[in-house]
Amino acid sequence: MPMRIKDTRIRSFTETLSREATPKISDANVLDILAAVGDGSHASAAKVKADLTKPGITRKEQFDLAAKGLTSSEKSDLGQLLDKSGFQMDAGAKNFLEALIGRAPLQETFGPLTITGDQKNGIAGVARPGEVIEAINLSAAPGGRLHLTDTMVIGTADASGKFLGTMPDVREGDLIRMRTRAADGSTSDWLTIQAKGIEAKDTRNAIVNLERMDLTAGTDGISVTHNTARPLSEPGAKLRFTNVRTGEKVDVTVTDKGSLPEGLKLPGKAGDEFKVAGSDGVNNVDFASVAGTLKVPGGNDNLNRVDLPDPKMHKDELNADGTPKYKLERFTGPLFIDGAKPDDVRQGAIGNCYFPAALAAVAAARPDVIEKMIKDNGDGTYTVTFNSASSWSVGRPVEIKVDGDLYARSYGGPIYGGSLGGSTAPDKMELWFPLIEKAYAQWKGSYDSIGNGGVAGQVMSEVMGKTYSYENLSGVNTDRLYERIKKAADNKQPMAAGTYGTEDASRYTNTGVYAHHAYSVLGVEEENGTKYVKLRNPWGQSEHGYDGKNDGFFRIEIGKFTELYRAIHIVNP
Amino acid sequence: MAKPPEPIDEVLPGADAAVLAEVTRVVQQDPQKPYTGDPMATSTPHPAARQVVELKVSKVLFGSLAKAGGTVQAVKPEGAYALRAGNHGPFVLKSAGEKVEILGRFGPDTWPEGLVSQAAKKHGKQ
Repeated sequence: MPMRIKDTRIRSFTETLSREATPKISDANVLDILAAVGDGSHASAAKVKADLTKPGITRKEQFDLAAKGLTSSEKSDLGQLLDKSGFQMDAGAKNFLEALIGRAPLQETFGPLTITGDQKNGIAGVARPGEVIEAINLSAAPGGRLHLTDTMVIGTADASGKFLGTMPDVREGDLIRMRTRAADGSTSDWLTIQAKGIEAKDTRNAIVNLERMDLTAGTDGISVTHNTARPLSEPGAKLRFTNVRTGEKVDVTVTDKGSLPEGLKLPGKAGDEFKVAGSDGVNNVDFASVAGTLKVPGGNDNLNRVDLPDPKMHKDELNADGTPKYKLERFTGPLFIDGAKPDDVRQGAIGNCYFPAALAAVAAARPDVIEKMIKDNGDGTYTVTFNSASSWSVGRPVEIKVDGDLYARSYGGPIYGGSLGGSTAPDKMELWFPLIEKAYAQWKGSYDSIGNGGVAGQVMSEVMGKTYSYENLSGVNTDRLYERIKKAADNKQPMAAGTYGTEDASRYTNTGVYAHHAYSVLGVEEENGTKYVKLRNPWGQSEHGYDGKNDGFFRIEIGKFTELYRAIHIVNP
Repeated sequence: MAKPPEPIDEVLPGADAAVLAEVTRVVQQDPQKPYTGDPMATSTPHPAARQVVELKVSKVLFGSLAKAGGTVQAVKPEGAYALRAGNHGPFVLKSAGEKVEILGRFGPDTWPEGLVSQAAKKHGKQ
């Protein structure tokens, strides 16, 4: 039977909790239920919550605050939470609910140690009179030399059992593990709380101590071991290991002892590097910030020496005898450093703006498509899968295999498409864009075949495997256009726009927009009643207007957009 | 066209001057070849026609092809951009016989003044 919770606050609490992976009514969040129960004509829920979390408040006082506003309807709600919700419950939380509906007496303390209120002014609670309270900050410990049992004394329970402990460097959301110690040296079980009420937001992410991990290559992948008894991160933290060669990701949860799950294996081989990112569930949930990189010892460089035929250079870069003016260099860097992003893309010295503009547009809207379309074969070669789709028809997959050789400048970096925002060294540069471009040149015939102009919408179709639409912008209704771009951006449909040709070139000089050029369209925004289109120049520089950064990203008022741009291309849903 | 601007370090060694200037008039405009390609395509090789323009110089960054406060006639070669009166910015120039030629794939929109000055010092031109 489903629950029929009548109180709106309890219902909202229940619905929110239900969305969690392992819903649990804890000693901390039960206070939200007590506040919802305790409100009434005498006090708002917010006021009751504030009273419930006052430092030093006892369980009896908390119970009385809740009981003061309890209605028969809310009793029914609490009964359903106990009997039908299936939620896990801390013993103290469960006793509150049972006591409020008269099913059990209120237990004023739980075991030897009960924490009360928030931690704004310290760690307050109830213990047996005279016992000392020992604690360790599990969130800070991985950054230092502490073992999990290296506690500090934070206070002593007074004659009534109350204590108010102080601990340095406790931040909002930190995990604090505590126990009591009696005069005879005996200790209680551990009790762990999450610090609350200290700051407006939890901004300290889980520390990840990379020095405490060892990676070893084996026949069945990479073993990851914890090489010390000291914690490597806080319990419950999520860690993401990303193989920088293949882009494969593995997520794990740190154990209660601040360690790794036993027998952890990662897909990879000797010589691979893994980026490690951590999240405490509040900060860095997208793992965008990386704690560092670990390399698997060993590896065989010969694996990078499989040599495939390379597409010929553009005619501008060929000598009279047809030999290339630039040498090939083997690039062995990671395919992805932090996933596919539009700001990774840099157009090279080749007239194919439509191609990087299209790829950056897909990276902005559907990075997952880019991450799936290129695969590292582990032998120095890569397989890129395009699609023979066009504006009017969905095609078939087309697989192109290339190696890591790229035409390079004498002073470093590839002559054609490259990557921005990081090293251009052959063993470090992020490779997804230049290799997809190389595969496109291989597919179409040569860099010359793709370096004399093209249509961004066509490339987006060939990447996405979907048809595309285009719209001429001359005389277009800007309000309707704004809504069309907004809807497409919301639907994650890649978009690009092209400017007019060089016969109209003089209209562009000094505008920051360039003639006969393609741009990624990233969406729209409105500010003070003015509507803008957000764009990116595939050069990774040179913009309309000055936004303080010359990174290729800019916005343009929508009327000006329709004046300077000829057409917009949108991949169909 | 629509290749990115050339790295300034590749162009500056062949430059004889750099100035901040404004186009006062287009002295000569060569006929523009019509475009016959796909109108939806970009980057197709279809250059804007050659022009001769008059530049009013407000500041000399290096070189002696022009003086601050003076004017100079310069050739804008066939390429990715075109000029009209009022266009302004840093112009990197090269002496080509009796004429002066504007360098840089996008003329005054190729590199900002600071980058030109920095590169000029690096290459011993300032």
